[in-house]
Amino acid sequence: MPREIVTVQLGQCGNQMGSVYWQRLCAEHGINKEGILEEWATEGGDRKDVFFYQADDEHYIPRAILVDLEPRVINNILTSPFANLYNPENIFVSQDGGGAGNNWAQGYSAGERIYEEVMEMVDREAEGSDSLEGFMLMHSIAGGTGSGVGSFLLERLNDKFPKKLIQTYSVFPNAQEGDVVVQPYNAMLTLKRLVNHADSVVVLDNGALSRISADRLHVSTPTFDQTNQLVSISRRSSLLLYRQSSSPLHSGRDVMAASTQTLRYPGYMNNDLVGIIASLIPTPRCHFLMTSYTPFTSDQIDKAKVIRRTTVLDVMRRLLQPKNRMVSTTPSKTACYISILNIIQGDVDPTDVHQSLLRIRERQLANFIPWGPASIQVALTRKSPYVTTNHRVSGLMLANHTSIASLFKRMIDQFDRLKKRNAFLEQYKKEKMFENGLGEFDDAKATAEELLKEYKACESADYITYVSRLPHDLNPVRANNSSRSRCFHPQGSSEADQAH
Amino acid sequence: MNPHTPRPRVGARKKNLGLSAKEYIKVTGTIASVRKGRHFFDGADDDIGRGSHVSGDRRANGRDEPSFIEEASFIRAPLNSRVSMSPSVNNVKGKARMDSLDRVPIELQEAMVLEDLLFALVGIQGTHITYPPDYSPDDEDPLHGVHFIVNPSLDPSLRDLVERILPLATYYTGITSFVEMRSHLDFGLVNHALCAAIRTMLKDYHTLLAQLEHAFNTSPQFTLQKLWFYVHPTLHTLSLLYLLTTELATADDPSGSASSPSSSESDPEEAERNEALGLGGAKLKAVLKDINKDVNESSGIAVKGGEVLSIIHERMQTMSGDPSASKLYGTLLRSAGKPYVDMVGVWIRTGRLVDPYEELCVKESKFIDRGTLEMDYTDEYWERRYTLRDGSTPGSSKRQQAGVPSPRTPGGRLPGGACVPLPLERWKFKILLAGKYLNVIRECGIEISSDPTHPDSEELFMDDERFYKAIEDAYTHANRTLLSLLLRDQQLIPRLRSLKRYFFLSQSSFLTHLLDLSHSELRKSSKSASLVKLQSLLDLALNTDAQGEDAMFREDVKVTMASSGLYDWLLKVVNESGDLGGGEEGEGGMDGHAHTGPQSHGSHSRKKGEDEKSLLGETYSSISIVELLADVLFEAIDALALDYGVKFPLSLVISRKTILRYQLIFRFLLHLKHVEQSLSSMWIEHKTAPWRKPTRAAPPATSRPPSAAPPSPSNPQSQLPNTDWHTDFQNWRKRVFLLRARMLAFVQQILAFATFEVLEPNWRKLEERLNAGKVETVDQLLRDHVDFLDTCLKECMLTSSKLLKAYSRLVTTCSTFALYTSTFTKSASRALAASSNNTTGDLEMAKRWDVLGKFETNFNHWFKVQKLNYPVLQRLIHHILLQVHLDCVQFYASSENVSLLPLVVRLNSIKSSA
Repeated sequence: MPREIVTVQLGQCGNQMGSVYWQRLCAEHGINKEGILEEWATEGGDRKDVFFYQADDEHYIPRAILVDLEPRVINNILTSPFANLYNPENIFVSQDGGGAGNNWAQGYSAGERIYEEVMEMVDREAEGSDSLEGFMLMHSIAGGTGSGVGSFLLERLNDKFPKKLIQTYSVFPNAQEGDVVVQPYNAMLTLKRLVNHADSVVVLDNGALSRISADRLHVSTPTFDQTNQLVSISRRSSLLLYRQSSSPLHSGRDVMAASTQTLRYPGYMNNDLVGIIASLIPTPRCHFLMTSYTPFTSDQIDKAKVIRRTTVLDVMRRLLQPKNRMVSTTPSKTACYISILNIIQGDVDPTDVHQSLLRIRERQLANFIPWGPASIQVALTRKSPYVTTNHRVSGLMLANHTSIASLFKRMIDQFDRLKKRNAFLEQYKKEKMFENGLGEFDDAKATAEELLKEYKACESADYITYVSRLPHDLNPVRANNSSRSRCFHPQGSSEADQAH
Repeated sequence: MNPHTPRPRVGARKKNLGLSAKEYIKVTGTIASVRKGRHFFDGADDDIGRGSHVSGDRRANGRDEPSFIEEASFIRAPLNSRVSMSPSVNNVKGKARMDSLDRVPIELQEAMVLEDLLFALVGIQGTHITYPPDYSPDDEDPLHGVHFIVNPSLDPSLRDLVERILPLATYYTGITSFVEMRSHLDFGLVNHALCAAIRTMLKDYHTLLAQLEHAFNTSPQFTLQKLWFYVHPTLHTLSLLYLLTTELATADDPSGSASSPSSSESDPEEAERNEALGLGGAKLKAVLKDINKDVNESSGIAVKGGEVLSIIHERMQTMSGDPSASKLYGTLLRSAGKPYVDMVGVWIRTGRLVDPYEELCVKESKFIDRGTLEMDYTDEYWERRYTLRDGSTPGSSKRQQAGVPSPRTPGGRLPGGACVPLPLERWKFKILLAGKYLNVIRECGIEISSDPTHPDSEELFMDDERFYKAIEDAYTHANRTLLSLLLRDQQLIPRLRSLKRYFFLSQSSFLTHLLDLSHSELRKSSKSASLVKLQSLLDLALNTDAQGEDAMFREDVKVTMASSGLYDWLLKVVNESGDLGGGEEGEGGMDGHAHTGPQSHGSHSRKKGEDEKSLLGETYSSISIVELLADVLFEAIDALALDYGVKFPLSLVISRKTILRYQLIFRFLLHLKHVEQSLSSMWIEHKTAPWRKPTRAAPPATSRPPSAAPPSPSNPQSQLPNTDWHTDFQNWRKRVFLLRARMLAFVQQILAFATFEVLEPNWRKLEERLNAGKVETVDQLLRDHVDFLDTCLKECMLTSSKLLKAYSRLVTTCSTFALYTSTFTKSASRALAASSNNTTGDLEMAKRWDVLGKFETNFNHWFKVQKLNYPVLQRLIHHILLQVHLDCVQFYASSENVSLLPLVVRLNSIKSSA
């Protein structure tokens, strides 16, 4: 089928995310552990080919490439019930098995070493698809493998497939938990590649994820296991992949599953990845998306939870609440949305959507940038018929919000604190890349700062000016129009209200 | 055998019964003379025949050949020859004798007159009661009966009595000749039945006369008074019958002359056919009319079928005060209605129309068969194959004019079968529909099981309550059967769902795939693109990864190429008919519009153009150049459309008329999707290095403090000094981004509006109606379906020329902009190259300016395009806003605007920073 997406899972975190993500996809499409379509899965209406392809014996194989420099997580996957799902040729585990030692530079140079092999897998997958739409990268940016190999792959993929999309699901480190000391370095170096080589980055903030897990799922005092689960995303995991009841992983899984929902359950619109993100990302560099998801599903905790009413309006309003965001940001007063796409799942009356949009607009729940097309876009999609939930409607928000800059600010601060003391740089200097000095660090920081500025600039009305080269101006008609239509606007919406 | 040779001609003469008596004589005369000629050729082998021939020759000019008369009269009525053929001979004799009653005694006079009267009462003149002197069968209409006259020398007392009785003779002769004329084949079953009934009554009359004659012959006490006493009640009955027959006889022709319906039979039928086909223009019709006029002047349809019944019924109603009259007419109505009721019964129970004499109110146009469904845009099969003869159509007040005979001049009653008997008037639609539905079922090859609750054998009459119950039952039965045939056996709802999937793109992934696959093919001009290739690509796109219901009916989807662009065509249609759903002429096909369209369209747009010119200045002319270019490069993507083939019973619902509407919506969506895709690929292009790479040389470029003074876009020149090249370049890039983003947002919002707020809700409504069983009749189903499509078209803004024009221009601009993608990229990378030259080598100032100058030209060129874009974008939004705003104030309740309001809200967001 058209517009296939190849998933690349990097490092421990990436593979863990990938693992739960594929489980979820299998459940939603009625594919069993062996990759064979369940007999009862006859409902149809879904497209499996975006993420799966069929082997000769008709069983479905994920278009996934698993890469790690150490064997633990992948071995775990290979001993799990889903071991037979993956194409064994697509699994790469480094021979020495030593990992990247939480060092970006080590990962990066390892990336260079394993490039040939990994790229062969990528090429094979790319050739196996009719019209490849792009790549989906899952990794964390704190550790060594995900960040280092990830950075290297980003550069190369972008170089090799310039017209293909690269979307990453990047787990940003938790601000409070500095479990890896050099994490600010790693994150900063990766961020530069994310800015320059990825087309869209879905930011999954580890801190926010665990906060949501604790808060929303009513896990007030995380048990040891759960703490481990929370942390598992960042670095030192205790690998409880198949026993988790509620964890950030599931949040991430839900987000990923929901954001690809419109690709897998095609509707009128948003049936390709580019259609979704093109409208979200007006300028190429501001491509860091934050997400909200409500309500969370959980395998066990559901009973403990109060099931709330879920109307479209409720869902859309909750999505806009900061506490449901999967990114911990400290929004400034001027922070605003550049764009919003709500993916609403479930059986929804389209007219409800319009009503909800009006209400949200009325109450000014969302501030938008002053300079561009600004509205909440809504994509309606069906739920998987095979996964039952208590909720009639659930929603995912993909948003481009300027407050994400605060995340970068925090990263820069942490980076500066470390860099000032020139701490832990020896490990980096060992690698080839930094033999000639640490210019790369400064470069990365400059990139981050520029990004920060760009986001800040987005908040002002003259971000995109109409000034510089307007010879005889955009005639007065335009100015009139805008003022007039602005005047009209409140009238229009109120009348629309009356009409309904 | 010579004597039998003329016999075939007898048949011919019979056919000409309707000819006036003069013509009749002429024809027989000719036959006789021909025969006279033949006589010499024929040998002596026909002894038997000769005698009659010779005698015939002798009298050829004076009167008719006896053998013929006998033959004819034998067929008509046994006594007829005596009535009509003898007068001229007898007349002379009678006149001679008439004077001689003066001195005859009164008893004798009575006896003589009684004898004569008994003759006269069966239509034969006697010696004293004779035909009027100027009577000749040629001039008089036999249907009026003979007005006998009495010898004036008869005793006044007797004469008075005789004259009271004599009308009976007139009635009798009138009625018999009516029976004789109307028994003919052409007058149809109802007339035959009526005649049979009358004949039965006349038989009683004959019996009475026979008894009276017997009494006259045997009993000396039998007087004229007695005769009057016996005959008196019969006089009333026969007068009623006579009144009826004269009304029936004169109904088709006010002047009273017998018409000749058969002679022109083929012509009106052909005229009807032509008219039904819409072939005959006014001229042709006029010619046909002339022909008809030559042949006969009346409407050409005999009084038969429904008309007879309604005349009888009418009389029954008017005479309802008279018990004997209503009884008489009731009996007649029953027996005359019998064949009619039977016909109706066959029609509503089996869907077979057995109506050889065109008596029933339902008409079948045989030339419209289901084959026409394939290319028919007007629902002709369903609407016109079976119609009511009176032209009324169920469910609408609109009357169909074609093929409906003109009403009779006096009384305005429709002639022949077109006239629906009054008691059936309320039921006619049910009768029509019941049979029509069953017919559809029969055409599907399904044997119709007659409703078990109603045995066919039951005798029904028109004035019987059970008859109407039977109609009602048959109607519901037929309705139920056909509906369930469509909905269940033919899977109508899954069919419609698949239409929604393929034409409304409810799962548009297949289209994305198709566009990907056929990218190169669709870039060709519409003429050179290969339909076969596209079809195979479509099959490929549809065949992958679909299961269950998704895969249903996909083999019915075909690719076609439209001959003109969607918007041009729509504009033409809209300009032509005002509203797409307005009339059948509107969707009569593209060719129909090609003749008349361009002119009006041209002038219209020119006028429009002038209005806009004042608004937009020179921009407009540039836009028309863009449009012109688009016209010349009519690409396959613009012509691409899908088609959908369905088999017979479903093609009633999914007819060409509806598929055309589906196609319009599909092409609308397709175009939007295509523009969305090209803008998306532009977005991908914008992610590449020339667009993404920051230009470091000007750090403050984007970081102007947000707290700076609020921008005043109305006075931009003063804002930036325009010295910094990097700021400039970055601004330029951002402007491209923004324009792209706005266009994309615009396209996506329109698409979202059309799908989520128009198509989906309307579809849900329709589906709900179908599923909930709210659609009770098949016609309702068809109407609902078309209404659904019309609503969709209207709410998608495809029916308003104003919106359509603005919208099409806008989308065209968007797609043109997307075409410039690579040009922009080139200029951007060139600019970047220039900038890198700058920073490294600071010597070559001249070169720098040169490159920059080049970039400037590029930039300006681009800006010109951009400048085009803004006002147009603005205008549409402005346009919609303004219009909706105005309309909201003025006609708030108008549905169009209410349905557009969500779109206004959506588009509000795009205008924002203009």
